[in-house]
Amino acid sequence: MEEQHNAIGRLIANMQTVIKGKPEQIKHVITCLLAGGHVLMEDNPGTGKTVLAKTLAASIGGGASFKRVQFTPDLLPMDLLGSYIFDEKNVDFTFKKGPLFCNILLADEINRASPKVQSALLEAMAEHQITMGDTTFPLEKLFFSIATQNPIEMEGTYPLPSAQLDRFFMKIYFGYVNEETELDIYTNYQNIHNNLTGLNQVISLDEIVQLQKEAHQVVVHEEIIKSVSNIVRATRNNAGISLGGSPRSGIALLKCLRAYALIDNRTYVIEDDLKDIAFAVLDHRLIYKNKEARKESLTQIINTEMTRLTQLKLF
Amino acid sequence: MEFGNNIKLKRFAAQFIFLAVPTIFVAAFLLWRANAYFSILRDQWVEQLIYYSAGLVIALIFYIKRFRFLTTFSLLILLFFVAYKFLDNIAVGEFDAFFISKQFLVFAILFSFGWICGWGFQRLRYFPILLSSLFFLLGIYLISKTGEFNLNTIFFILLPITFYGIYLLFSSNEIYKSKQSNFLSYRNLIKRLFFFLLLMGVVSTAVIAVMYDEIVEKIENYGGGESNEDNSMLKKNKDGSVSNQEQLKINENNNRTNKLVFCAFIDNMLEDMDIPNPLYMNSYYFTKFDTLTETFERDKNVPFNDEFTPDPSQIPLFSIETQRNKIDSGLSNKNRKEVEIEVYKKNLAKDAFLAPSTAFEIQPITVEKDYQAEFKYAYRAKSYVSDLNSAYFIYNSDNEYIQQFQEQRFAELRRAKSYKNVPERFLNYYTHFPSAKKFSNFKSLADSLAKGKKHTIDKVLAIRNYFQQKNALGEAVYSYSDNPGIPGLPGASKLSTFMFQEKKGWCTYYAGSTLLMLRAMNIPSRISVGFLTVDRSDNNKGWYWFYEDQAHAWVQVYFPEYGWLDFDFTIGNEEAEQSPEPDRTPPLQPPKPVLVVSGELQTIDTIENVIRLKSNHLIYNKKEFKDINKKISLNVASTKIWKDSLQITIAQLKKGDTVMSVSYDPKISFYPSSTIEKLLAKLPKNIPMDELYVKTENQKEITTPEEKTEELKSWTYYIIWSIVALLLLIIFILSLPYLTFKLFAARIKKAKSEEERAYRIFRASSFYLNQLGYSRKSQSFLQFAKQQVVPAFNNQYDTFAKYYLKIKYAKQNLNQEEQAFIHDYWSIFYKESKKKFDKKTSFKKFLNLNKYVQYFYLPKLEEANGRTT
Repeated sequence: MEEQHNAIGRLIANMQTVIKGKPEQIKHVITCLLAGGHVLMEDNPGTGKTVLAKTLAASIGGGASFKRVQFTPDLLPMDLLGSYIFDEKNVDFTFKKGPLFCNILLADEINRASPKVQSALLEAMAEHQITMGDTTFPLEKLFFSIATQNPIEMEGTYPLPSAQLDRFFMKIYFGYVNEETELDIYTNYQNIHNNLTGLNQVISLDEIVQLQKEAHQVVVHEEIIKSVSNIVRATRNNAGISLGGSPRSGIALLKCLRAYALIDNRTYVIEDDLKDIAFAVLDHRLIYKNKEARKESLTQIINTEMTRLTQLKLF
Repeated sequence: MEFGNNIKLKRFAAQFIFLAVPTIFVAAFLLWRANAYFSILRDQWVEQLIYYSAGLVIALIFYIKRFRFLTTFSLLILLFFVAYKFLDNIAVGEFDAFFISKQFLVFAILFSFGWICGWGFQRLRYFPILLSSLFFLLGIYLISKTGEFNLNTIFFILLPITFYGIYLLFSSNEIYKSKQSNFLSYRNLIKRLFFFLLLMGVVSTAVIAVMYDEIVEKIENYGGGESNEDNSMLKKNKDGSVSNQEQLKINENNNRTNKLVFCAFIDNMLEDMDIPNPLYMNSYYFTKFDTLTETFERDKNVPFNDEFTPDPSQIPLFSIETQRNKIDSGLSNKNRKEVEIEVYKKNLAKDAFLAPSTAFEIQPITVEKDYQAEFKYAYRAKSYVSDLNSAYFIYNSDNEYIQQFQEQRFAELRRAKSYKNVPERFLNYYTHFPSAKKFSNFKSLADSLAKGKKHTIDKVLAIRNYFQQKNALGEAVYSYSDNPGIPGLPGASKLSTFMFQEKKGWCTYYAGSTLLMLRAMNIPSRISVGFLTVDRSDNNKGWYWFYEDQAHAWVQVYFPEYGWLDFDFTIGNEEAEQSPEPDRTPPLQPPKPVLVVSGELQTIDTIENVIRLKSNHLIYNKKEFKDINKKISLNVASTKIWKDSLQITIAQLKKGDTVMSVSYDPKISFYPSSTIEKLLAKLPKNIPMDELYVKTENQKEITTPEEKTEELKSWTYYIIWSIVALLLLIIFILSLPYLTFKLFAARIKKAKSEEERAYRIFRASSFYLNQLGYSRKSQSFLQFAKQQVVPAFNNQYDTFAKYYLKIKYAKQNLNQEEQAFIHDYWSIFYKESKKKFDKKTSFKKFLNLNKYVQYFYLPKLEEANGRTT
């Protein structure tokens, strides 16, 4: 236990040498990693999304493979999945694996690619395997994809359909850092760059797989499960939300809660975990009626549940 | 959309429950009260309430749809108008068209008013303000019209409308807001309703506490099943008996009944003739006048007080109480004599005492067996009465003989001396005239009446003649009325309205006005209340019967040497002088007791018929011996023995009984009685007695005279008490946060397990921090601990939070270290927290009720909105 914690602690510390002023985002990304999900990061260009993904990949050792795909409008599914290539030696078509066959995939600017490519990726994420013709190729045991996207309003984007957004465990907003951190970044950008290139591999692939297993063991109190259910159900009845959360989102939330507790070196989930990640897990799955509702509805629902939990006396 | 309908329905339900129902409730009070005053309403307030409610509710439903008010309301009015015309013109026939149309009018007005209210509730945001102020004004108007500002009005009008008004302002806004926010919290509304009910309860309790006596009296009156209207001359007691009011207020109306109150034998005959000479029966004198409330009052500090007010219920049977100094205080010596009376009370209060003129002696006596069913108590009394005093002397009668009789006396009074030798204090007191400006016209009238009159009696008669004046048509200008009405202007004097405008009223008006004028003329005078005596006796000379409507007030005028004489200028209440029923047989007057012995039974000899008493009280020929502690033997061979109202035999007597024995035997009445020893030596060994009364338990109990503190509890008393109560309440409220904190802290100590303790610490610390201004708001507990508390207090609160949450969610036990931490944490927390603020600051912070309320108030959803992390 202690050891694992150290591993996670190391990972976080390692990443923080490069990613300044984003402890929450780092934690969230790791949560998704440990929960066995995938993560979507959204914000304006240049806020450090890609760097984060790179840093994470660089921190994982033990033979972890990292691939990066830059999504463009002319990208084809084949470029992602791989294709059959005629092998002159064997006089046969052999499957040339695409970038998906890796441990950590950075799908950069995913919303710039055509829907066809998007769905290919998302299908792979969901099924954990790729089918080409009549052959099925399983993906790596640890397959973690970090997709980034620019805000939907920007030009030249193909917004992800909500059905596919649902496959991401979390959508993480980056935002700009505060003044102090930004100054720090400008002062030390050379060092930071050096940090990135010379990053140590602080955690092994096996350790991560082990941690993922550990996460399943984390205790979730019935009342927290009930709160998860309450929150998800409340999103369906809310006046400001036209499409509420699915049971899948509830499951994702529970998985994330477990992983998040583990990051905090706990074997049980507490109400604060719910407070910290529920928004990130659920927000991108909902379709709001208007901007007002986007700001308020989910926070309101979560806060109501938090109030309920805080006032509970469970023993 | 379904959602929209839902909120509409919900809002309607809220409007109905939280606005319409309270409105109808308050309207009920108002209508009920209005019915008491306006005769046109015909006392059908329930029906009227239904009309109003129907209008209100129908409009409330109607205007949910987007109907235009002006059009629909005009239609409604038109409908009513047509129906009204129809009723007026066509519906003449077997039923009373006028009545029906009047009823319809009342219905139409109330329904329309209800309709407007319903519309207002539905559509106008600020309508409740209008309505509550309208109701309030209506209530004030009704109070001013219907009666005095007493408990009744406070309870049934003022409190409901005031609370209703405040309540309405609060809850209506909440409901109206839901139109914009599409969010309606029943909990808030119910909270408000309960809060106001609670407030109302508290205030009502305070009112009850302050006005307890008045309430008890009210309840007794209601409980007695008697008329609820006040008879301004008589006071109803708890047991249903009556006695004279101890103050005389100028009321709007007077309610009289014709029940027999008592009968009396007055041993007073006109000189040389065998004609009974009736005397007014006096109960109290009123010498003070409260100009503000126009109330005549008794004054405890009267100079030369000749008012004899014994309490007959507190004097043992046959005991005599004499206060001869009352005669001296009467300041009279001319033409006076002692007159003996006997009063048999039927409905008169046990403790009431009535006698003519200056009474000075009382002796409670028994009522003969056969009359006990009718008359409960009796007493003999003696009064010092002027020869001039007589009911005939003061009747306003056209009878020639009576006028002649009166003239003789007036002639004598013209010989009365001037007031020169009368003590100045006496004169100043009894000629005090109120300086209030509203009584100045009495003064000017009195001056004009007294002009040119030399003798006091002529001045007095000028007032009488003024009341008896007739107008050009030969009609009496002043008349008698039990309902003289009230002055149109608030604050106007009822007395001067009577005197100079209405010219009708009952005895209180006449007596009050007379008194004012007499005093304006510098003639010492006072008001006397009691009973008017009318001689209706043909067979039983000297017996008079007194009915409730004979309760009366008149004036007494002081003439030097002659003393206080009765004058009655009340015009023509002939009803009171006529007997409502034929006089009954007067009760047999018991012979005068010669010997009364009372004491404890020691031995009973049933063979010899002799009993021995250990006597402590003995009356012989009116001479009373107290605490004698002598053993006396009585011969009871021919004695009637009574226990309660049953006659028993000697065998039924028991040792230890307290008895009283009476002998009427004149043969034993000639012994010297200078001392008790001498008397007992002369009396026969076994004194033959005529009657023996066994006292039962409840009689034996010497009813300690209740301290009849005639405290007219002043307003300052109430004000001081309410201020004290208010201060206590404020202190209590302000200390609530601290008390609550102490409670929370105490519960930590009581915790049985560490888990329980952690929870208690959580509660107490949250409360404490909230009070100090660290509120969790929408943060979660751990966030709160880390981000707010630890930076501020540095008290390891985050560690505690972690352990607490572990207990809460982990389903596993804490380890030793953690348990130890929880165990000691409260003292650490408290110690560290105290460092942050000095005592003064934290004291101030603990007075912050706003924070206190916030803590118990669940965070509002809107509030949480802005705090997205």
